[in-house]
Amino acid sequence: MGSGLSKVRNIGISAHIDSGKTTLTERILFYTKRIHAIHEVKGKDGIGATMDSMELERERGITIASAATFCEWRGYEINIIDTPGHVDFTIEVERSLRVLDGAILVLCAVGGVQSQSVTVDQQMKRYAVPCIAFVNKLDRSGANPDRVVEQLRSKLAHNAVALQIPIGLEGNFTGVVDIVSMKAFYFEGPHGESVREDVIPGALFSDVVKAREILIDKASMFSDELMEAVLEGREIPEAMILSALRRGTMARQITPVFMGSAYKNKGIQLLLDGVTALLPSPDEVVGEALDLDHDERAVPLFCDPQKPVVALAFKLEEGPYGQLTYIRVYQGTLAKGVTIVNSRTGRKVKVGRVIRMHADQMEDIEAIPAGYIAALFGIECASGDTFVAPGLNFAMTSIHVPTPVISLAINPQDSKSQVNMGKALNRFTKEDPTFRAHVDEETNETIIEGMGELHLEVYIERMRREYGAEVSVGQPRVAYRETITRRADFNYIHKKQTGGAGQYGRVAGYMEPYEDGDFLFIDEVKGGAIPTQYIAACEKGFRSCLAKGPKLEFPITGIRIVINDGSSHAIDSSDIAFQAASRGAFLEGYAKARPVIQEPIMKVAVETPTEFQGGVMGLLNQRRGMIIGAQDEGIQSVIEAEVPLAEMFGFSTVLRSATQGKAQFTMEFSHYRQVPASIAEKIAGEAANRKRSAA
Amino acid sequence: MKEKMLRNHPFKQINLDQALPEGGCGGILARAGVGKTAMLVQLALYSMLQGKDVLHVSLHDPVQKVSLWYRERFLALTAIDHGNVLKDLWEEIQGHRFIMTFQVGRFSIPVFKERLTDLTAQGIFHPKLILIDGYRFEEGAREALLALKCLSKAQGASLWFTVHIHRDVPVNHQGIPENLREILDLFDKILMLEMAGPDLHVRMLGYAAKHGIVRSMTLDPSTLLLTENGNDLPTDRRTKCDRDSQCMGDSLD
Repeated sequence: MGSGLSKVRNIGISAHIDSGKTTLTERILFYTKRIHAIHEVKGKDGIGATMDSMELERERGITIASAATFCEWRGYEINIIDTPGHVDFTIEVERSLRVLDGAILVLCAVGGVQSQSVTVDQQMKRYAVPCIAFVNKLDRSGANPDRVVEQLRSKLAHNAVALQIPIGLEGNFTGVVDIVSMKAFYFEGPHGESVREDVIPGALFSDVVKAREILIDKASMFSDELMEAVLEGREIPEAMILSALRRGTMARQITPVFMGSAYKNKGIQLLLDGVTALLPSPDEVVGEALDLDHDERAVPLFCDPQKPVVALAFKLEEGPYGQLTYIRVYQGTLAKGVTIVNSRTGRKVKVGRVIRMHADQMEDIEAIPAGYIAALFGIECASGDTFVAPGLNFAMTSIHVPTPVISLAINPQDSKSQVNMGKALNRFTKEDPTFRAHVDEETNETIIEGMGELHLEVYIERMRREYGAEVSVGQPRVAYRETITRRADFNYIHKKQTGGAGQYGRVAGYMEPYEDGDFLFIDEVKGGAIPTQYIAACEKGFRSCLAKGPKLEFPITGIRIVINDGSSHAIDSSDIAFQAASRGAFLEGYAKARPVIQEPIMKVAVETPTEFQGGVMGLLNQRRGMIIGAQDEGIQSVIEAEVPLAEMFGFSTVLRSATQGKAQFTMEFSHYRQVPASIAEKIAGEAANRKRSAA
Repeated sequence: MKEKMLRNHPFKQINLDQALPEGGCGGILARAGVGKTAMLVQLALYSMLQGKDVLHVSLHDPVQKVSLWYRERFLALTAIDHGNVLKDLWEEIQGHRFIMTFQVGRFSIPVFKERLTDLTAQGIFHPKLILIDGYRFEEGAREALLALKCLSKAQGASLWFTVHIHRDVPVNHQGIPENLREILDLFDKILMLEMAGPDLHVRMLGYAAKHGIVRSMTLDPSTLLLTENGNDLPTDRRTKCDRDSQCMGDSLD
């Protein structure tokens, strides 16, 4: 870790499922000589791609957990985090983007911008991560990079500009023309490791010239020097174009597009050149923390190894040697043996082993300077914790964590499985904040919660493989909620004055629907009607009612409570009395506020051959889906719909059989909506049955 | 709230609330960026508030972007946050809209008919109003337009198009591009949108002008909501029809 920060790149590779991210990473590691053999993701050699270190990943052909590795390319150190594309694993992508300085957005030359590409792009926007695009799979039938560039513009509103033109497509794809350098590149050798420069093929020359005009026109918006050179008709050096593009990319005002085929070993080396030329180094990215001693005022962080350390733990992994904490240092240096403070818990920890990761292999190092990503052993913390030098009280902005929307009851098959299941759940919940587990007090069942069926399936499978915990699985349960739909007043007296120490408290006010959050408590009591010291107890009492609704025991959200009157007793009023009064007031008001049940609604996008479009729409319609629209994209269509999560279980099987296995879908949480009356009755019936059987 | 919105809707004041007949066709003409899509969406929202199903076909925007248009126009229309009432109304009327998008080169009558049949045959959606945004009226447009009118009539629906006016195309005395002469008779209503300084004016031509209905109106440029007004175009920009309040002639000639 010593090449100087200007020659460091921390990047992620993000995209829709099956766009070729893992294959791309494999090729990058090969060309940077980090690995010495190439293995395909679903390889016949049974080994699988290097980055998919979990057995399950190799088997399913999908990437599950993010893995970090570093490599070197032409004097640059590149740290890569490979991330899953499936929406059920969005938390992994979110974490990676939070700590990276740049990203490669991989798009399939056939599928183009797909539903998860949109989600990933939104995540990149949230964390202001500059990106370059790579149009992969140019060797496939139906590859159309121009269409993909256009989709980047129309669907993701990127100012996308192609930096290359393919030489041939599909089976005839042989190389690319680099528009910046005006040269053709061919990738030769058994694994494309030899890059040969040549003149631009005559047949492509006019296309290249046109594309270069567009490129220079767009790039000149970011460089006065380039603009002047254009206006004066001077020759434009390559470095001037790259400098302008770099400025635009870092400002997220332009997205350079590269292209190739990772599987066919073409275009990767030029992509690496693009990463080093266009994406920022750690010291070019502004870091900020919140000063907890000064009302969470934003303070800048300096990518300076000499300053007091500030670092963010963004991933935890339980391994055979203990907990591994992946960490990004934003300021200062995290060295072996130093003491750091977890700003969330206030606990001091001494740094033990410091590791640089390469998928599942480790390399011991002495320290992590600012701008780098590495891992620590033996540090107890949660994902998202900030570590600082003693004396600082900063916190990095919390990582955005989506709320789980589906739960499942699991039952261990035997006592050994029970013990192992506990260990497994303990580990998984620490690693992944969107995966939660608890014991249902009534049924005594263990309930796991997550972001989708696949999310939970993967953890159940991991429990079995990694911990030998065999579990049976109940029906998935939807995370319903309750809320109110109108304003209701309350005026409740809690009184127990039958002799001895009594209790008295009266709370009056109103509750009403609240759109902007889960709960808001407002104190408008005047003239000390409720003594100030009991106001906090009132809020506590109200809050305690939110965990379970009175009738159906679903969590209650979206309520604003205002207290504006009350009364107290000089002797008998207390915190406990006012908590009880508030609970009573809540129940009184809630019953009058027309409570309703809400269910999670999922945004579903089904990609299907056009011939099955009608059938797919019918399937969604049958599931109480509201179809927003259908996008005709030639041989494929994308149908977007909002469907209740409760109706989506088993959808993948039904979709597969209705479309001969040719369609696929993605699903992510959209919002909560009131359930129809008939469904509400059914839910109420099921809740009552559960209560009865628990009793 | 819905009834109140329908009662007070600006369309009522300028007789745009009268639906076109089945197979009828309307056009919104303007240069780029003036507000054709916004106007189309306003028409759609008005129908959706009345409980009519609207099929919005876009030839240049993806589904999500079109959906966002509707959301923004709906919020501008309501202008007041009614909390749950607004949210409930929005969720209710969304069920009356279906968005279909095509790449410009891929849209054809047979493909559109197939997609429409997918919807109706499955009982998923039966539009009463079909909007087509981004259709290029080039050579052969007459046949295509006739076919679309037939198709919409068979569905019991009416059609509205956006028509892009390019600055280089010559126009007649009413501002209608010459290259549309051949198909004007197929339109029952035409709305011309024009910028006049900071204001956005709408002129109604064709059927409405023939029958002396309000002929011009002003749009709020920021919200693109219609505000009721009279003939407030500067005199030198008024058409013969506007100047003559008894005009019943062939206003599209």
